[in-house]
Amino acid sequence: MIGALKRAYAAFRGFDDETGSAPMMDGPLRPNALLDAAPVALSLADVDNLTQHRGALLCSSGSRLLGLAPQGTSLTASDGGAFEQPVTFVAPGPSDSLAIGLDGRGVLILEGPHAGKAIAGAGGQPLCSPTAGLFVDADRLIVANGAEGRTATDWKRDLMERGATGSLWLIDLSTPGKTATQLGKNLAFPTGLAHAADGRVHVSEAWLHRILAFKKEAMSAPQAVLSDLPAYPGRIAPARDGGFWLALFAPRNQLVEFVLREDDYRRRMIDTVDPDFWIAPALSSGVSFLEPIQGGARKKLNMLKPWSPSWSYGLVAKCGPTMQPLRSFHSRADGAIHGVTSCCEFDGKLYVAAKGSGRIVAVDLADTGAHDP
Amino acid sequence: MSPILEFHQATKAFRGIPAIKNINFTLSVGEIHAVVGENGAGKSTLMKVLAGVYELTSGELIFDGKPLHLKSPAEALAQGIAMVFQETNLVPSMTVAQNIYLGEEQLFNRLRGLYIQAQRFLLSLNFYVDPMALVSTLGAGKKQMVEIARAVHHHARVLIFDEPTASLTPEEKFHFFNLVRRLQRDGMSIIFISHALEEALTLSDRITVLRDGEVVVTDSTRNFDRSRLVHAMVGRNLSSELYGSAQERTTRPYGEEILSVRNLSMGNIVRNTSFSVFSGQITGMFGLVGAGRTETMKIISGVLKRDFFHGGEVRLKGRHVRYRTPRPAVVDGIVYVTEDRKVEGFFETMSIAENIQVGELTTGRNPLALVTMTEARRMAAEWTKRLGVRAIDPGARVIELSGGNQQKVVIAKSLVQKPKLVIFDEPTRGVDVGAIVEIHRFINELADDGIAVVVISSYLPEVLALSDRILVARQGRIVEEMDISEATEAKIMYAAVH
Repeated sequence: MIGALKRAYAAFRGFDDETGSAPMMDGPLRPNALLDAAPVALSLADVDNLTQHRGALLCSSGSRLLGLAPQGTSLTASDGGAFEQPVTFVAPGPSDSLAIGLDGRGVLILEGPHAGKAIAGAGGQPLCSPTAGLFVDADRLIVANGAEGRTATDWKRDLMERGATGSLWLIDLSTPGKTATQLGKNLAFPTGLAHAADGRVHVSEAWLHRILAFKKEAMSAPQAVLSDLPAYPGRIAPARDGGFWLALFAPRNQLVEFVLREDDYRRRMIDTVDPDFWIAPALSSGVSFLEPIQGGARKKLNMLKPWSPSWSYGLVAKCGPTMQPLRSFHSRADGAIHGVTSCCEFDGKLYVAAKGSGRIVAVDLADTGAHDP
Repeated sequence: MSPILEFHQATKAFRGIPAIKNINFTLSVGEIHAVVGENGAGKSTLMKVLAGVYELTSGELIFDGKPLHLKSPAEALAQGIAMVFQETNLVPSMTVAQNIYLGEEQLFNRLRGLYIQAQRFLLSLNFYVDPMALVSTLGAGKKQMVEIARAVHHHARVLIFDEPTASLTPEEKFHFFNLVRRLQRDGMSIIFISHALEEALTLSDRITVLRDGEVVVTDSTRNFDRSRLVHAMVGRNLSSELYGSAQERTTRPYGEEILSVRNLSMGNIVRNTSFSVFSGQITGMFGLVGAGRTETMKIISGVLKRDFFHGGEVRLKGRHVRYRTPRPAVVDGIVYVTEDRKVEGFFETMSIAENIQVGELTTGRNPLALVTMTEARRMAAEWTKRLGVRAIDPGARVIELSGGNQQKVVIAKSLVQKPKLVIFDEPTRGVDVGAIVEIHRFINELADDGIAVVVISSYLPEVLALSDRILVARQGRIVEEMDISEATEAKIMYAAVH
């Protein structure tokens, strides 16, 4: 009875129900400024898809693929090729395989036994939003398609339209027609993939703020291994100790959660306001005075309070083998390493690519003790 | 200084078993004399003899140079011996003034005059307590002030404090110490029973250590230090076991998020507070009295209700829960071990086995509520062994046990419910050092077994010794979170006060 009354009141007022709050960052996700404290290894606009291939670092910048070589505390970039569309994922695999995702186009195998093959669709659907790829073996590739009929760069619109049209595909590269098996569907923007210790595959489902585990062979009911995250999860990279590095590319906040439940308001906002100024998460913020603010109290003496709500944030979580967060690296509201889309552990350092800020920072893991929970 | 009070070869036996034996004890005029010892050492028995609750089996009590045979507490009070109990003996439904002048009522009472008189009297003692306030609305510190005021009003010459600081915040303790010293300057003789050894060392002129009902040593306080005191109390050195350096030990990693509390609110006591608790870890919660720690945890465990509107939310393993009574919380695996064991912790007239059995019945695992005493006794035997509950008679009523053993029964009664989340509220309040070590060990074992543990404590060394992470509450909110590696007493206190 009380529950029914409360729900009726919540429906009338439009808030105060259980779904209206964003979880706080505490425990292993307690805010710090470790990302801001880390040295900047490279400044590169639209840096993304940091990964390791053939013992070297790779990243993308827009539609270019770049090789990275450590030089002291910094990285030097060398050109690895340019493509017609922005690179949405870079997936290294066994037998020196390398696959990339091209926004709106699909998947292209660059290196390995199947080099040169292009996959434009799976199961009769175009892979127009290939957000993540993961080789099971040299012949099989799992691809996450973020949203049906929408490009990966249009992710903000997918969130604000409450999209849940993402899918997960296992593509057999060795068969002539590149047979595709659907592993999951109706996903709310899958953005990251990683092999789980139990033989399954971890998938980050961004708009539902959780990590799911799917079977690799066939369609199965997913199991949530980590849920209720305080930010939108992105790519998952393996850690040296058997755990994972989880990049969370934008923060959740209560105002966005509220707007997400206000359909009429959101519709008008989408129709009439430039996407850069939506009440929505972003990879970077604070560049224009036209951005919506959340009332007062964000600044004191013209200094942005680190704890103030913001549209963008920098967050990388170190997770254990069971995907439970153990500790985290942050760049808070007043920080400069926002919109972390990928990270990669390489040579005792964690390289973190902040697409929003256009920087790669190198976190010395020996200094932070990230492997010693 | 001449003694105002002396015990000569004092012995008090219950059913032939001596609780104190051959005690020789003196209290001088204007002296603060600390009596310390483990639970069950005989401190309370000795003091109850002095307060007229018990009569001596043998030996004698000399007061002001004359033998004294007290038959009742009223007689003791008439002689000028007053006792301020750990759990105050005030009437909660009456006002402060009515409590102070209790027993002196006239046929017709003019309340206004009573309040003015009480106000003047309280101010003369520098006690800022509203004489018109109902005692039930007062905090522990103020209740204690009223107790003391009542004793002073009865012209007490000997004042006995039994665990006076157990429920006081550090700030209140400071004021309390000043008060005791002022009473001492006014010529009052004070007996001070405490488990907080630092307090005994700070406040007293002499210390008497009791163990197993006998005086081990009486000496000037300056001849004692903490380790000598502990050694005298328990016969072994426990200092490092008790509160070792927080930085020296390894912390447990974060487990699964068991509890997520978001924007929880209840009136002005719990205000928009948010935090999480993880399995396999001890989350310490520190704050001054009134910081809303107990109320927050009581809301979570269904003892209290949060605000109906904008009351926030509680998630247990990601599932939204709202408990209106404790039972569904217990069924879901949330257990709250109360700070006020005598009121909320156990049924005092029931035996250990019956109390533990009641805990088991709450879980709903026994839907027909069929109880066999064989099973209850087996369960009691298992838990008394596991927790080291020491009772003269296994069938003893809980009221007959010492404070530490009562606390262990409360813990057993809760843990028999096989919880996922255990909330300990002041787990070692009024518990002796030996039992503290055992309770700490047990709390650590729970966390090692993967259970999420929350420990609310007002005693900073305890928070630092037990916790893997520390949450600091102030004015109804969690205001700070610290890893144990970075936490210091100064940092925690700063966060709790500022």
